[in-house]
Amino acid sequence: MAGALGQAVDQRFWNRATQTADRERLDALHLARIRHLVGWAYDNSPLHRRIYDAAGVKPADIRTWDDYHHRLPFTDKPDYVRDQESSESGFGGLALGPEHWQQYFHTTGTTGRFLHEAFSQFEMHKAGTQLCYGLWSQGARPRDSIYFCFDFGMWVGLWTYYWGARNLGLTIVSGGGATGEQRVRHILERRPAIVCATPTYLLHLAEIAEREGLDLRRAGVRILAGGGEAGLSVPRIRERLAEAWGVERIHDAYGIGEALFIGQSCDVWAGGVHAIEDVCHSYSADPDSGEPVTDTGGVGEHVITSYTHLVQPFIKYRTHDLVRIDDRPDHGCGWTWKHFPGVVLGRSDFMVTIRGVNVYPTAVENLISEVPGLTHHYELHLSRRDGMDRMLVRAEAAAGVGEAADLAARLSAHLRDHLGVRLETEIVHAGTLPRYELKTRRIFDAREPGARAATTREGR
Amino acid sequence: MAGVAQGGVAQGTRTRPDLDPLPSPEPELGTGPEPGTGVGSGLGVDVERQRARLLALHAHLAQEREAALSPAIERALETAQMYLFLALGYVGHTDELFPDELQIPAEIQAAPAAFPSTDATEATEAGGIQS
Repeated sequence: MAGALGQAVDQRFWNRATQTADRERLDALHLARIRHLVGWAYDNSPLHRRIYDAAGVKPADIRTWDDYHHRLPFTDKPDYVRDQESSESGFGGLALGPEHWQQYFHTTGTTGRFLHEAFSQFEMHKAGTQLCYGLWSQGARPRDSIYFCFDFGMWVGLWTYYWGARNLGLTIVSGGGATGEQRVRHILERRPAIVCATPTYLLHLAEIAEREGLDLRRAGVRILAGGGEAGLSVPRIRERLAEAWGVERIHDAYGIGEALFIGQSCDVWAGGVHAIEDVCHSYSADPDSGEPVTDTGGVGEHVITSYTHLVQPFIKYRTHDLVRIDDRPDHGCGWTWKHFPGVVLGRSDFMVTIRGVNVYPTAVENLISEVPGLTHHYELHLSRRDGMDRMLVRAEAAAGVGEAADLAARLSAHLRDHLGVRLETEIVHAGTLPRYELKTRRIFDAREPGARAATTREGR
Repeated sequence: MAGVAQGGVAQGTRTRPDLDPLPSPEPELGTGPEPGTGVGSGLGVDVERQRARLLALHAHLAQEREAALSPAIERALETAQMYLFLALGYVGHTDELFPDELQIPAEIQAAPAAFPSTDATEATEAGGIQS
């Protein structure tokens, strides 16, 4: 296909110019945007000015990557929460006041501390572009239809999917206000090309369909899309979803509430997501020293700078997600944007020490999915007894699976083999654990507040 | 109107005029910055040309927005500028972070409008629309 002026238009990419640009050019664009953004934040956000002044840094000092990595201070969620709590507006890190806001949201706040977020109209338009790169790569095209299995609320993640669908030109079918069974029937009647939900909820709909004797594979869905949980990057979950829904394409999106869905899987599944480098800069740093991780395959904390969120700038912001970043991916999709194999590998601020062994709950979650006979539904219960952290893994057996004791032993052995420590395990009957429409609550921490991490993966 | 946000917060100026342009990556032949468009994206000559055209279009939209005959037209053009700015982001535009930072270049402000006049008397004199 050619554009009106005769240039070739590459239909494989949402935006070939940047998606396939070489690393050096991308980095030059990033540095230009970051320098501008630091100046913008310094001039307009009292929080950023305080942070930069306290570090003795002025925007003009940030000229090189070395300046960015070593002179510019990190920002973190507690900075914004403190600012929010001391601010009359109730929002932290503001660079533009309420007269510029079109809509506001808050994070899921499982830990009881919501971070309030405000977006201007332009930011909402731009946030709507973030999903398009991945959905386009999966084969979604204007006039395809997308079914949303949600009630719209204050969580921004779902809204950005909706904005993305509008921006791409999809026909939107809302499943708001419907029961799970009604949603299954809607999907069979409306035959959307794409169904959007969390992986847990997609599995839940498959269970409902099976119970009701309905075959979701007859709905003709081509793409399952979602995010908010790890499931869409876990191979066994992907296999289960592909089989139950009869789809070939499963689109994973990784995001943080502060910068929205900044990671998207491409059409060549390589076990992770690409950073969407038109909308943010990503790198990883050692959680303790703050030094950039430079060795290939090294795990570090994901640090981002968002080009979408300007009402509340997020610059060199610590996500506390542990990631492995491939700066020069070459798995055949053609994207040059950084790739995160395994997406989120754990949380730098949420580690439990069980009998001297450091255990990341995310690692446990990934291992549970590898045990045959279990559903994707589970809970992790943390407690402290006699000064020692304990973790109980409560997992749900699939329907028709035999003895729970055998399954518990298999799960325990699998966890011990991979983590190096034995965790308590409990198997419950199929359908016992609650199903959630939005982000599933899986981690229950009964330890005293002083013994807990400040934030958790689910408290974003 | 354009360039000055409602609520009294001026947004129409570059926030960091003290920042020097960055040295761009080694440019390919013909990929240097277009006059008046700041530092080039380095993404290729076609991309750079499209960026220049988009900037010119943005300036025309801003000019037309200044002459809007109703809040409805002004708002429609403001929204159009937001979408247009998304396209600028796709072609590696880094001079501004969001549309309100863009200004109308002086040469476009001074130049006669490339579009049909908004002056009703001209339309009448030319035998056009009669009120």
